[in-house]
Amino acid sequence: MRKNASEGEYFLRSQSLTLLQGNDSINVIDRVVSTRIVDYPDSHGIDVLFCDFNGRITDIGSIYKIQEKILLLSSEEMGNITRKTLIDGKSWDEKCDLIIADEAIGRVTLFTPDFQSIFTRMGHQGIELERNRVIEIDDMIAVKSEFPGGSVLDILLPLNQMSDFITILEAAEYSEMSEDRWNFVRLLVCIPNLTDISGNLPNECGMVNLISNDKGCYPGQEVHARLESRGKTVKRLCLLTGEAPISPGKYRLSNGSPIHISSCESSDNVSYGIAKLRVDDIETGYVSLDGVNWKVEPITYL
Amino acid sequence: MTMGILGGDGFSLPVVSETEVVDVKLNFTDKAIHALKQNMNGDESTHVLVISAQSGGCSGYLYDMKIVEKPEDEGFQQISIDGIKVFVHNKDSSMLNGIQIDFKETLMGGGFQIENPNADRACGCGQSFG
Repeated sequence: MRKNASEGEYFLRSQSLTLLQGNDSINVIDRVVSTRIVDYPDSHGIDVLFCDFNGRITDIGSIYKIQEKILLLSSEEMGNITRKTLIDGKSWDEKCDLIIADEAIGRVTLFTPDFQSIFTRMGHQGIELERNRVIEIDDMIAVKSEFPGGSVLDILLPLNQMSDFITILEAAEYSEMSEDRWNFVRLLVCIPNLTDISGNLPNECGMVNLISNDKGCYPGQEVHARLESRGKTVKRLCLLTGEAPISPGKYRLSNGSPIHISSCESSDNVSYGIAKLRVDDIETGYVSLDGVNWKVEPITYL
Repeated sequence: MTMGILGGDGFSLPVVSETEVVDVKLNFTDKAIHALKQNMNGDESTHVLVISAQSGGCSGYLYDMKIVEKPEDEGFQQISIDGIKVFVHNKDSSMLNGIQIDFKETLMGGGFQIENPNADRACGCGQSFG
C-alpha cells in the first residue's frame, strides 16, 4: 500500500447482495455484463461492469460462485435497478430465481498487512490467499482483492454471526473505520466506487480488463468494440494526491482545462481525490488547481 | 456441521417483477408465414412458435423465436397466424405488441426480421432492441 493505511482496520460495507439460483443463472447475468463470466471456475470471484447501450457504466459488481449458486455484490445505489434488469431479462423458459440477501449476508472489508493473523485467531492455519479466490471457512467466505494501491480482504458471512466476528476482530485489536476514514483508505487503495465511474466509459476508468471483446453482444458492446479498434481515450480517471483540502465538484485547472472531482478525503495533511481529467493534462504527472499543485496518476484496475 | 453462508436467515422470497400486460397483436408478412410453415414442418397440431424477449444484445434486449411443444405455462397469450399457434408471454407483451415479422432471404444468411414500434433503438444486426 502507498502510505497511511493503518494496521488492522475494518469497515462494514453497505452493498446490494443478490443470490441467483437455478441452472440458467450464469447465462442470465452473462448476457448483461461486459465481462465474460461463463468460463470462470467455481470458487473464483469475478468483477463485472453493467453498462448502458452507449457503453457507459451504470453499475459495478462482483460475482462469486458458491455451492452451485451465484452471489452478486453490486452497488447499493443501483441495487434494485440492476436486479430489475436481471429479472426482466430472464426468458420465459430460463430457470433463475433472484433472492435478495441484503438482510442475510454482511460484508466486512479488512485492511491489514497480515491477513493470516485473523484466520489464526479463528483457529485456521495456513490458508492460502490468492487474488479473487473464494475461500469458504465455516459459514463465511474470504476473498482477497487487489487494487492499484494495495490489497484488501473481504469477509462475507451470515448477518446473525456478524457480532461474533466483530468480537474476534476487536480482540485482535482491529479498529472499525468511520465513513470518512473508509473513504480516505478507499481512495488510497483505489477501490472503485460507483460515484467515480458511473456514466463514464470503461477505458476512461482504466477498466478495460473488465471488457471481454470475445464474448459477443451485451449492452454497450458496439461502443466498446469501436473504442477498442478505433477509439482514443480523451479523459482518464486519476488519483489526485496533495496536501490541501479539496471538495467534490467541477473546476478549471490553472490552464483552463476542466476537472471533475467525484470523491475526495483528507487526513493528517494528506488529501486524496478521484477526478476525471483530460489525458493531455496529466502527461507531466502534476496539475495545478487554484495555485496548488496536485500529483496525478491515471488509475488502471488490475 | 455448518450451514454455509447461504444457509442462514434473512433471504427474501424470489423477486417477482411487475410488468404491464397488454393484448398482443402481431403482424406477419406473407413471406414470414411461408417460412414459418416450412419450419413447422407439419407439426402445427402439436407445436407452437414462441416469440420472446430476453436481456442482452447491444441495445438491452434480444428477440428469441422457438418452435416448441405447447408450453404448460399459463402466462402465455395465444395468437393464431394462418393456422399456426404463436405464443407470447405476458411478461413480454408490452415489449412485443405490434411487432412486424418479415422473412428475408439473402446470400449472407437472411432469416426472420422483426420491426418493433416499441423500440427506441436497435442494434446493427437487428436482433437487439431497447
